[in-house]
Amino acid sequence: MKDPEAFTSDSALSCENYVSVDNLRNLKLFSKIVKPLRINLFSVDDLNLDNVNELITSDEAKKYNVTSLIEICNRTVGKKFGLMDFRQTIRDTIIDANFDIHILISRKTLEEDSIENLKRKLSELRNKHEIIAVKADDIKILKWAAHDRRVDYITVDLLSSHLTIDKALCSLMKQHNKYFELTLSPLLLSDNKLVSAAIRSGKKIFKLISSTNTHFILTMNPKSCYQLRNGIQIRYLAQLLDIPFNRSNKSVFDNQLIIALKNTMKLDRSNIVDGIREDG
Amino acid sequence: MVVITRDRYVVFQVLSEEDLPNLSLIKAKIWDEYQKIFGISGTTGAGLFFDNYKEGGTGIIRCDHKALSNLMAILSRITNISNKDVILIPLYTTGLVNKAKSYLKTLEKQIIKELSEGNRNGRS
Repeated sequence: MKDPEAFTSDSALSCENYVSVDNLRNLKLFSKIVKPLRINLFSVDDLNLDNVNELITSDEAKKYNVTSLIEICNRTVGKKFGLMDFRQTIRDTIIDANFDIHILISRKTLEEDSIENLKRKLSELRNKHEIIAVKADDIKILKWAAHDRRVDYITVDLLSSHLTIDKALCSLMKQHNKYFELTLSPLLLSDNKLVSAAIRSGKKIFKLISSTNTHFILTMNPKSCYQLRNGIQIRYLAQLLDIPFNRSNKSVFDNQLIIALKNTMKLDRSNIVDGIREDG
Repeated sequence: MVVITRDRYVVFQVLSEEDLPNLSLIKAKIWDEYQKIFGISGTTGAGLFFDNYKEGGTGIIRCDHKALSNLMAILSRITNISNKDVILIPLYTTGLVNKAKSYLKTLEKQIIKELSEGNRNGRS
């Protein structure tokens, strides 16, 4: 008889791309839930790079094997490493640690009401966070954000009062190689009306995304630790929005990891984009 | 015409900080959620059957192979049972009941081992 570990393949690796800091307050409960779910990569909202470093050096975090993406990348400094090597290193680290490792990534979600405010915030925060996402109700702001190199994701809320994306935005996102981030937490609500509205709007959004073949990622944005779900569960939940299982295979770990690694390398080497270095 | 139904067996685990709910509560919740999303016709077509539920919070759910993805979505949707925060984790899916049972056995041994290790650490 094989042991339970042997049944798990690499596809079982999972990432939660939108965790709030409140979830990390009770690290014991967080670790207890996350270990059997095998979620190892977390983008923590409102936590900048300094906060992440503080957190991982605390005594409690050491007990639960909490680390950061930069720390793992720094272990390989000196060797000539590319993006794919780093990706493999992260995968190997998780599997070697028997899935009992929590890798933190700093993230900021910007919810601004004008393009001017967004520009100002982006210039302030771009060196402090590895991931920057934009969430807005105004499609003009989203269209501006879609072509900005500092923005990684555009977060789409399934419960917003009106559809915040259109075909033009989707093709703009595709053109600039940006990702939509679909948060599936409304699907866990107990109110039938809200769940129905979320499914209806989710189906419309995916139809648009699918028609232009734009990249997307799936996340839960959990309000509590009990709303955390692993990659496979998220992909099954996404089927309620007519997202085929085989189209979401990279949307729960690979895409998130690649974007986070690209940004980590960019910050580490002070690059504006790949190969172009910033002065000063 | 003979119709052969193909079944799938899902090994699942219930996690909670409080006392684990009993099987009847879990069953009722899953049936209720399934009916809410897929209707009565979908629920009867799924052929759900609960088996081998142990106090450690592990068990097996049998379903029709066409209803597997629906069942998985429903298990993911559940966040509380009788006002207790819980999480239902599908751990292993197979088409053979014996394989599911042997996986469950290994899993239970592992849980008992972890519990005894936890108690030992707690005492020291």
